Amino acid sequence: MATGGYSRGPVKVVIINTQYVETDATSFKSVVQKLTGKDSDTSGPKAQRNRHDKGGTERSFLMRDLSFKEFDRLLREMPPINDLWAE
Amino acid sequence: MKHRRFAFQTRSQVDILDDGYRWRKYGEKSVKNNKFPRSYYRCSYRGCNVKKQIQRHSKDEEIVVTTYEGTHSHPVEKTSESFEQILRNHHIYSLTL
Repeated sequence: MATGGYSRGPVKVVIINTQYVETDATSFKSVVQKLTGKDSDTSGPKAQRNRHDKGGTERSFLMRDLSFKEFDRLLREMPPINDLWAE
Repeated sequence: MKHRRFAFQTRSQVDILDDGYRWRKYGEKSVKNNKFPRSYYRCSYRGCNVKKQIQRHSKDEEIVVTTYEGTHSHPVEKTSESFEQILRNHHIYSLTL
């Protein structure tokens, strides 16, 4: 190679920010969807306000996005209790 | 250009945790200081470029590290999650109240 620089265009710099998240296996799915899903707020979960927050404090991520209508439907469609807890 | 990644650490015997999305594996390679290989996946939804890597933690084998990069361009597919599964989640939710 000859001395002197060779032009290769502007240098591209990529900054990768890795945020570490600890979850248990049960809440894994909902937290992943919260952070990487289509509607995820790019400023992170803390900045998000719960859409269905009726003035209560923020709780776990589980079931957060289930509207009351859907929850009503779930309860109405529930099978008999005995079937649920069968061994 | 900034990329955001989320590295999830989860205590689990299962390597592939269900996150509600569908993935296609495109690579695997061995990693220094770790007897487990790292697997690479891409979201299989057309046009979506989210990627994830799955790997056992180098210092604690019981922990699986799932690292996501990107945001999905599509909603989660409404699979027929069994009612028992939903109730089980709710049961755990109500325990946190």
